[in-house]
Amino acid sequence: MLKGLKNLFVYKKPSENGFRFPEDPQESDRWSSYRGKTRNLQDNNESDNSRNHRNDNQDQYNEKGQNNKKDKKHEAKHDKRDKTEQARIIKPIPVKKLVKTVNDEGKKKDSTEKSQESNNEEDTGHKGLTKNKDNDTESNENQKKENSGGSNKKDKKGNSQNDSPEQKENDIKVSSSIDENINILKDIFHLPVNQDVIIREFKIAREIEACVVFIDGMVDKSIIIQFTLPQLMDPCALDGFEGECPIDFLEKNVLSIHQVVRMDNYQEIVPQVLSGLTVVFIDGCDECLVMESRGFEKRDISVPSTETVVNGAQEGFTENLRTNITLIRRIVKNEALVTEFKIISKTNNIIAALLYMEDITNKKIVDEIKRRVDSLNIDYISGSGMLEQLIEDKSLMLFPQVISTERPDRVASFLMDGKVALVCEGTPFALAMPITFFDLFHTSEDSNLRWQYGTFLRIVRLIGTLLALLLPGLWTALILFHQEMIPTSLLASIVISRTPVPFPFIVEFLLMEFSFELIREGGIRVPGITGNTLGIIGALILGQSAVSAGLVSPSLIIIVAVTGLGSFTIPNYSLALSVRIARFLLIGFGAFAGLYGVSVGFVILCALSLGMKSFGVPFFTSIAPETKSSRDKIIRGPLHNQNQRPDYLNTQNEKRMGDNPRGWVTSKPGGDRGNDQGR
Amino acid sequence: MIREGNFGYHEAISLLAITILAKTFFTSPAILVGIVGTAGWYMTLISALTAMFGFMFLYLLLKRFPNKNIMEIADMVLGKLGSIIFLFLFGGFLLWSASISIREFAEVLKVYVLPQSPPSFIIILFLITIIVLSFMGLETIARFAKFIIYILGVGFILVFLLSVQNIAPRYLFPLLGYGLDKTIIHGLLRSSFYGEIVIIGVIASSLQGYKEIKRIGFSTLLIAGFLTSFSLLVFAMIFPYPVGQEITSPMYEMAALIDYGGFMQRMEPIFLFLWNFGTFIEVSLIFYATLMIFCHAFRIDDKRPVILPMITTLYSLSLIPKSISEVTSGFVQTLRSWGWIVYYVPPVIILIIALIRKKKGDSQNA
Repeated sequence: MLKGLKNLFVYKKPSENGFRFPEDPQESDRWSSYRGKTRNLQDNNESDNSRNHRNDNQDQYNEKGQNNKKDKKHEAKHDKRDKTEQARIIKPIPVKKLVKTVNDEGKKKDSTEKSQESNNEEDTGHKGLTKNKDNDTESNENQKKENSGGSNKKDKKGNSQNDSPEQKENDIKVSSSIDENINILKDIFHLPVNQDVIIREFKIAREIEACVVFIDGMVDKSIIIQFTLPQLMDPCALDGFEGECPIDFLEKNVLSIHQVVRMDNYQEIVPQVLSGLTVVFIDGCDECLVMESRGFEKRDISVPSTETVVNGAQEGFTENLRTNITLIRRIVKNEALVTEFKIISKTNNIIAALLYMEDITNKKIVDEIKRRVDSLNIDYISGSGMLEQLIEDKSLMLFPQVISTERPDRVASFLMDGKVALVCEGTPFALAMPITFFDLFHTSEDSNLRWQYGTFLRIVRLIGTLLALLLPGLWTALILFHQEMIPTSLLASIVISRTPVPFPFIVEFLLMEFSFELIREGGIRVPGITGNTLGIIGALILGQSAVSAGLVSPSLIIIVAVTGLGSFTIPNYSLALSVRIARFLLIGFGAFAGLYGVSVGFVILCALSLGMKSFGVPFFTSIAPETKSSRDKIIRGPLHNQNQRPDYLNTQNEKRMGDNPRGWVTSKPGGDRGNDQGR
Repeated sequence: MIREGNFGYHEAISLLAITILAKTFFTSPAILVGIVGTAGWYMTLISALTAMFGFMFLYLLLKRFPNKNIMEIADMVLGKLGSIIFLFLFGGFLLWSASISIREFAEVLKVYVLPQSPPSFIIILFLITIIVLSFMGLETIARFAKFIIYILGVGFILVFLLSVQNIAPRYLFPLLGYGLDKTIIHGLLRSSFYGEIVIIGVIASSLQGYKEIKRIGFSTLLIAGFLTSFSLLVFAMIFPYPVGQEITSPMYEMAALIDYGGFMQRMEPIFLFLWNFGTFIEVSLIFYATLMIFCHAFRIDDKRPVILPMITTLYSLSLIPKSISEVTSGFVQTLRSWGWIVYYVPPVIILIIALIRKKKGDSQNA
């Protein structure tokens, strides 16, 4: 029972020993290398395993002898290993199947054997091939263990225990019989119960049975309607073809699709179908054609909603990973910008892209982030918010340790500083790390404006942050403990305004603060413009009515309003939330022991945040501990003086600009550009 | 395990300078006026010079045993038993001095800010903060000192600038106070005021070698000496010496006297924060140093389980004095006058023994 439950939550890590389609047609590096390699391999008769494999596949129809089968198995294995070097595949394993595996392991084994037996009727070498695949998987697992320092030995063990029956199920080879392939697909995709997987049967050139498989809504139908079916169903489609399996002929001569790859294993094929690709099965061929056809609906690029600026770009991220990466690449047009895709959840197979500058970023930071992301063992991740929580250093800390931004220009500037970005599909936010307090405190507008304006805005923001954090606690302390410290005239007006209030001060204060939080939260949840209206009207009516009713004093309304305004100046949502929470702690300390209590609370808060690290970088780095910085903490120096990348990142290239970034500022006519040591 | 970690020049100076300077917020300046009259401001410079002389021996000892802290050096020079006795006495003294600082703080806070709160309430809150800081480790304490020194610096300057209206240079006379001889003798004795500089020997492993220790030690003493002298000078110019010796916390009073009209008056809230932050750092450093010493003496690797028992001991010790007068005129006075024996003499003794026994550290690691 326990083992069953354990296995239920231990998911098999998607195998990395195969090819995966690139996320988008534009992302063609991997694709090109694969295609290039395939072409090269095809040119090389002796050493090309892939070519031999295909030749053997064709021979299969002519000679089904045992010896050839053995050769084929061996070569297929090598072919697979070659592909491993190129890319990785997505291998989703539904929880449902895992449950099935756990509960009916024996039963499954039997059914797998039956399935194998049925396959063996046509392909007697299947069982051996599966074994080879298992060996490959094991070797990959071992390699991964070595890479991750054996940190997840337990999990890996669990996975490997889980792998065998599931592996067998997914390791079904494409049959040369179209009917059998359709049956397998129906079995895998639970047809006809599952109604969004479409299997369209047709005849190629009115001669050869074939079918296309895709998921309705995930594909761009024009690819199928205009560029696949008409060309394949054309009576002249096979003109000039001679032989048994036309797959090679069709790929090269008929299909005018920009990205097509051949696959022969359902373990590889199924994830591609789930990702929105279209697969063509052809009778008589034990391979299929997998075509890029993704075309699902996505939101357009819009203005960032949480990080608006006056002077700066007005584009924000969307939920689409490829769009987001494109937005970043449009700003950082540099070949050193590396994008690595990683599957971060195991059942919903969410993909995250790891971005960094190859020649700037400290490799240790990249490795550490990869280590954390690769070691995630979770069924479901909805987006960057969940990912952030899973990779941060200390989850108990109040302040964020990873910055979440919806601005591509901020991500670009982080990358150029030497930070690493993680863009996760599903949410219009990107994560950047490591960070310090000042990253959370700055906005992209600070750099776009002249340094005087930027500095002024930062000082305003700092005052706002301090007010939001300290004012309620200080006010509580002054009113409850240190009335003698309030100037007499102010004290008199406070006392008069508080006379009709029936509550103790702390109740009155908490009531107002909580009401303010209610208005703010309510305003966010109410859709559209109504939310803003609710916020303003709510605050006005509530405040006015509360004062009229004698429930709160007007002075308190002012304090709460100023605190609220202060918290709105904090540019980062997570930081603003943490300040909002911290102010309640300080109110408590202030009510408990006056100014002494506030100072105790402040010290505790400081101690916790000073001890906090983001990927090894202390939160208040460049002040405590002190590091070199380019006048970019609170006071921002002129742009041309900020010639150093953040010292704490230990970047490969420390200078972000030349010795004389403004080459025209020189006595020499025409300007001397100086030593261009920056990028 | 708590990681001591490493910290740099600025962090170390902030940490040690605040630890030393925090004492000026309490009763010491008033006691000093009682002893040397108006000469306190330059008497403290004599004390700072004496402390530098005392620190020099510690530096020579640390130079002889590079990359070792005072506990490891004691192990090597004094032997196991001798080391335990020395560490026990030294650690016990530091714990006692921390308890006096806490009690002094609690009493002064009670007088000025929280008159209705019992000292135990103030002490418990204080110790909660020390527990948090200690759990975070020495590195965090040093970072906190570095972080807070900006706030302290601004507050310090603000209080002194705003006090300009109350300054009367004539209060400085007679310049020689109660006599030059008295000033020099007490200047030498009260080098204990700067005695916390020897904690540098305890935290030596977290610093970047003995050359850095030398820089940190002498810079700290220079900065602390100058700022203490400046504070006492301003204090002496604001309060005439007969009045000055009657005030419990002259610095607090100085802030309370600020008056620039109906609104800009009574700046003690600013001072209160400086006072609190400074004392938190002072006590947390002394306490953490004690923790390190005891953990080393009894070969305890993980300091966390020891924190709570030691905090309880500290709490008990801080409640021993019966009243504020016993704290200020008895314990604090004794500590300031004779503390130098514990602060500066043991390094000299250990150095002499090391020379006699020809014990030396590994110079390759220097």
